[in-house]
Amino acid sequence: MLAYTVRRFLFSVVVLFLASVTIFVLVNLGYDPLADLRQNPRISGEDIRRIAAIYGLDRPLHERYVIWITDFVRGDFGYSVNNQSPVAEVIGPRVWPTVLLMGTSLIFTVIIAVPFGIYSAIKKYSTLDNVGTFLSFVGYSMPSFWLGLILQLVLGVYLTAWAGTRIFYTSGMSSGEGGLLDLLQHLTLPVLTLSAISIAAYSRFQRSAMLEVLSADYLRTARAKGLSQRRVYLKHALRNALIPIVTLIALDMGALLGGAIITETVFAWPGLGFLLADALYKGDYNVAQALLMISAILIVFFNFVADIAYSIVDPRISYS
Amino acid sequence: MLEVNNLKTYFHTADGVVKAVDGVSFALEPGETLGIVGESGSGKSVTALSVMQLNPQPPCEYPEGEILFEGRDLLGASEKEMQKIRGNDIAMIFQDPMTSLNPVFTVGDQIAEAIRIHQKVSKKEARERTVQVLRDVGIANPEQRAREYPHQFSGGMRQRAMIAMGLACNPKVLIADEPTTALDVTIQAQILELMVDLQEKYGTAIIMITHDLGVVAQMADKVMVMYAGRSVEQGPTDPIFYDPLMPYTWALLRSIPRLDTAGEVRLLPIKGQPPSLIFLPEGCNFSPRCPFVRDECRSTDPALEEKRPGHSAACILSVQEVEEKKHLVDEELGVER
Amino acid sequence: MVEHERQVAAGAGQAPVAEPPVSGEHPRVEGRTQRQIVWRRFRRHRLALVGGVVLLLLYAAAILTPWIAPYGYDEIDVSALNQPPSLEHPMGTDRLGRDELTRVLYGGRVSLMVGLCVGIFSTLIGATVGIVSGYYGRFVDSALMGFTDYMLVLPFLPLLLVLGSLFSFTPVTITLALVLLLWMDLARLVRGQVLSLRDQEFVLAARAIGVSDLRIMARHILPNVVGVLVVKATLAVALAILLESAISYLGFGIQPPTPSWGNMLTDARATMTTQWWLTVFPGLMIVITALCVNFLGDGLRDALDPKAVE
Repeated sequence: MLAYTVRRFLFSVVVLFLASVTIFVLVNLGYDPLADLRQNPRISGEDIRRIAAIYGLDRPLHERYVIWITDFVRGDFGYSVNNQSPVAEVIGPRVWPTVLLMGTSLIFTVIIAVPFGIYSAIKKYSTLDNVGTFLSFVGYSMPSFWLGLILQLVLGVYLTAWAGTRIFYTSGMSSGEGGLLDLLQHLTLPVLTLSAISIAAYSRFQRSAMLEVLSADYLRTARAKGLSQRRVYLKHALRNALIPIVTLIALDMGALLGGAIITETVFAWPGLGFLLADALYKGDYNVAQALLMISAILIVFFNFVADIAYSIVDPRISYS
Repeated sequence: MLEVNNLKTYFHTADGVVKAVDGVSFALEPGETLGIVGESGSGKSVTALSVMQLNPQPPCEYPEGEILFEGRDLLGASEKEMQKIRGNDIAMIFQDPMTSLNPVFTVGDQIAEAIRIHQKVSKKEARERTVQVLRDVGIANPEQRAREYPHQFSGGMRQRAMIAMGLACNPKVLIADEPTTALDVTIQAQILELMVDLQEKYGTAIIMITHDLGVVAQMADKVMVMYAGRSVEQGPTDPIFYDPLMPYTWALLRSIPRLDTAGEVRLLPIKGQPPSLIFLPEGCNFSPRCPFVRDECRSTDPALEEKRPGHSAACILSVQEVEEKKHLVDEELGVER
Repeated sequence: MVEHERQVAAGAGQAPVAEPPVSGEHPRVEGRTQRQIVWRRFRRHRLALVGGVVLLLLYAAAILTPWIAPYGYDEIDVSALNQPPSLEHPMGTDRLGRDELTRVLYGGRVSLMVGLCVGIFSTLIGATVGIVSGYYGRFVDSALMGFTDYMLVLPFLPLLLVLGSLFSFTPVTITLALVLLLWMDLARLVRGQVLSLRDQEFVLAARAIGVSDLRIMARHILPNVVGVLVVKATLAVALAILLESAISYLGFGIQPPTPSWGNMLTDARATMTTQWWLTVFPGLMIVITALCVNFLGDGLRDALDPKAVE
């Protein structure tokens, strides 16, 4: 087990290194963070050269990479030109909103989708199953940004107009008045947007996993021992059917940042995803680089978590 | 003790009604071993599942017959009553032990579960009994093994564990559905020997379902040969093997190579394939493939009749006619009688 | 998170390996060829049929757009500014008086074609990598899979945005970018299939006879993998359409004036509450297209799965 972890770790480091190079090269190829300044006629070329020297922007690409990566591993993510502050300070306050949004969506999704998927499998081809299947298809055929827009329109604007008072907020995280209710009013629409699609996907997945289990021989053995059908489902089948979704959840957590981008942008939710889109609009390359790298690290880490989790829930898997 | 009378088990499918079991009767006394033999699709497994009432009820229907266990008709029993009987009075083990054991629970847990469903014992007592029954089936180091998972067992050991699970509550009847088919030949012999030993020790009656005549010859006191959902020959083992009165049984025996006559005797394969259980042929089910077929066979459906004391066969030919026909072909094949 | 789940959900279910059918169980019915069985089962999946037909119509409309569009793409009608849907303008008009239906048709050309091409090319690349990797094994396999694993670590939506802000995406370049980011999943899946097929007897037999590797891969392995490929290809198309529209909406994808359903929605955002039709219709087209592709994919998967009971 230890040997496996060590090997995995080394492999991850190599992969992350390659990823960091890719990220750095791509981001820095296109960006000229001094573009704005260059266009300003009141700033001389001399000044620009000086500024470039301060930020180390006049050095060749590979040197800049080394500086960046060595700083990065020590926690120094560079300086955000747009925000006039260290990148770490820009990123910091945005972490919790993203975690809150994605976390709430994930929990909500699992609570609804897993039981539904299981029930759908048991009552295969029933009306509920057919309706659920159809809705699932619609769910994951929907562009999340468009769903967000529609929800803003219907549950935000139209509902408020009809009800006479604001029920759900269509942007931002809080209106400044604080309080749990206020937070929920802001949180609801983005969570619904994310969850609708997630639930569609997860419930299909769980249904499929459960169907596979339902055709297993060991369920027949369990019945032959004298167990009731209910016991067979709840004990023997369930324990096996829940294994695949554990991995899925872990992997999903790894894709946290990527998944947040669209929804946060549509709802102006002050999280990491919105920050990334914003940074790219404005050419704030340090912030973009840092976020991309963090994203890659999360993916690698949660891939590892997924494998470990899998080996825990499935006794057939072991890494020793 | 167990008496099945004219059991019919039909399945309603999109293509039609599958008559998986079409009027089967047999009896089983305490301590006896009954071998049910037949090709794939002959209805042997379905018969066993019918006794256990484990066929999925919506497509499956029992239009006729009765299954009397200690006087009670199981076909009328409620689900709750059947749950008390399954695993406890009548137990069943299946063909593939790898897929028949739940991979996420330890072997010991699964056996203990069988015990605790039916007996009010503490966890500790159940565990002790589990270890004991594992030892009985010849698994070394049973305390350790009980804590292990099925994938850590070898094929033969898994089947032993399944047998242990079946016998854990000391049932009166053990139904074994092709228990050795998925195993190596050498392991097969071990498992069969084990079952014979256990039967002596516990006094369990066994229904052994198999397509392997060799297995039946070794173990069974009496045999029922099934074809296309019906019983076509029944009786004590020896007469059926040495003097079959139904052409199908005889053809089956002649199509199997034997070590002691290898090279001297020709094989006689049975031409054709078993019929679809939805569209059964007119007359005798076996007539399209029977080597002794006559015109009447295609229009008359033979009932299972007692041809000799205790020995029944479903064929319109008389005992003498069958003997004559067998003799002629045997001479050609080089079989000595 | 959501895009990743889409891939997973759509792929939920066993990847089928095509096997020759068993005939002779039913003495009254003649044996059917593999193709006949697949077609028959596909036909029974009504939603897939509907999906397939609608898709064909959509693609036909995309190809024939210049001829069937009721108005010119940039045709401005000052008298009909911001009109809600009506008989003359079934999808309404925008703030310049341009017919929305026409714009949706033109936008569809880009979105649909990008989707289709991404589906085709990512499948080709993924299948090739998967087959070569699985078949040759050892060093080639390690190298290719190492590369695949590395690419899988790259956060693809963020990266797509970066690429989009670097190179103003044209339909061609965005197709390229999407292909580069979507082939990996298929490669791994195909490799898994190939690994299990490679040691089966029919392959060993072919090698024993001396059939060349390329021929084995093309004639023995590929047909068995086709089932998975076709299903995954359709799913890739759906995913590509959704991704393209998402990043175009954010401004990182297809740049105006080239229309795509995604960037039409960006424009519509400002007037979302007053001119709802500008937001609803392009988005609805995306949903309908993706839905049809997904139904088609599901129907194909059911039809090609040899384990499904008829």
